[in-house]
Amino acid sequence: MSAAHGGQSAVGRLESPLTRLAPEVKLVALVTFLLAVAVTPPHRPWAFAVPAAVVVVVAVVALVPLRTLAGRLVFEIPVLALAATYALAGKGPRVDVVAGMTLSRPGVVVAGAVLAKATIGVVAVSVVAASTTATEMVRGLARLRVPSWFGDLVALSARQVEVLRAEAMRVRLAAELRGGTGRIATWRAVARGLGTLFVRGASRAERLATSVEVRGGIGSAPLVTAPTGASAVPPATTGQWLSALVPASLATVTLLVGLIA
Amino acid sequence: MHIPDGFVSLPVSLGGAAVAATAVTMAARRAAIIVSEKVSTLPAVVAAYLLVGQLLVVPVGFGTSAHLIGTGLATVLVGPAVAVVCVATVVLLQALVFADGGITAIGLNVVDDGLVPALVAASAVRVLWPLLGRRTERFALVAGVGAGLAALAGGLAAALVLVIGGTDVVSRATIVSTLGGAHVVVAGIEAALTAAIVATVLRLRPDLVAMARPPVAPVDPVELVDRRGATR
Repeated sequence: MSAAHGGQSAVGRLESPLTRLAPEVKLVALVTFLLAVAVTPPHRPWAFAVPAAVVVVVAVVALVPLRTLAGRLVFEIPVLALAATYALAGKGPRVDVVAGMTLSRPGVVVAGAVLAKATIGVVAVSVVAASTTATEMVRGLARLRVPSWFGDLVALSARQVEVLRAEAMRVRLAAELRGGTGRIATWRAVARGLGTLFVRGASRAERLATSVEVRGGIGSAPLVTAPTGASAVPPATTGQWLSALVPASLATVTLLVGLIA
Repeated sequence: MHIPDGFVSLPVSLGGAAVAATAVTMAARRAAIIVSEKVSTLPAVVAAYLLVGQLLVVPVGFGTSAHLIGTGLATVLVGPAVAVVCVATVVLLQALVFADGGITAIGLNVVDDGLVPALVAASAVRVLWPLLGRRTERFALVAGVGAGLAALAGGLAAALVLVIGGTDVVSRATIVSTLGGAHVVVAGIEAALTAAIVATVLRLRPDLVAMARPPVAPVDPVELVDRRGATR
């Protein structure tokens, strides 16, 4: 995706050791790290301190702006609601917290654990997302042997999101010009706008398919071209793969110590 | 609701990933995405459309808000096979780029938000529409009902996953009632919005609504022979 089409540009972000890392390494590190964190039992709260520290250190090294992380944490609100359900409605011995309100002790332990795991997950993913463009992510998936039809689909979808968002703003503007700003908030107007957006999107898909056929079919040239030259990210070296295993190893060691101790 | 990291045990997460991978591959084969790649522009656009539409956040109550998934809408518009592939793309992009939904729970989220709602919506439409005589003006209503049922089914599937693979600290009834209750509101909104959107699309471009197209009648070989007995 080039910046001219509104895609995520590699130019605007801060260069850090993480942006130079090959995307498949980052993806493998992310998944293995999160798997190790997911298996960590909830009874040892300090066992979450190590993965949390790992994530914070990586975030600092990656020069991720704090505002980006804070924005992503908004997605945690439903997690808070579910964790609160665990704490309030859990079985087992209850603990008196504030006058009259009791919490279930095992519920609180589990709630803390799921909150910790979810937050670590959100921050880890945000760090990887902030240091990897969508195109690099798709190439990383392709190098990890994800089937090419799915990789192409993901790449094309990511590109079309920007296109559709611009289209949605145009539809909204047209509706506003026709009916005044007060009309926009009604559900009917929203539904009509979304219906129009779908029709425009599907027409665009038909035009895209025709243009691909005219150009000689999908095998001859990719719909989303990967960056080449200076902005391309070369395949991973052994050293990079070894560094990818560090976060997961730390998390696994902590988990084993937590199980044994 | 997308299940975040850490809520479900590892075996259930891996099982969900396996089910999702199988289901998506089967759906892609059925939708001819793998076979003839020339049709992959529509799934990509529909996936992008779902992503843009999901930015609509709906306050549900209890201090939380949910966002519409849109699988029912996608099923009615492009058919269940393409819809499953689209939602898989959406879940992957949301988990990797927006940190919405856990990475270890991707497979489960594809099943809860994609596979189950798509199957429920398609079945509901296929059962209800003939009951209304397959009239085009009734289709939007059927689509809305199907989408509402699909959203509810997705929420119950998520509750089931949390009951099977989650912690046993909370009773099953609590989980089911909490998640189910939240999803009842979401289902109602999805039903209304889907009906309205489908009505708009039917008015503008009725050929774009896949499940409203008349089924291709199978050709009876006997009819290919005309009166004189010669084959046409």
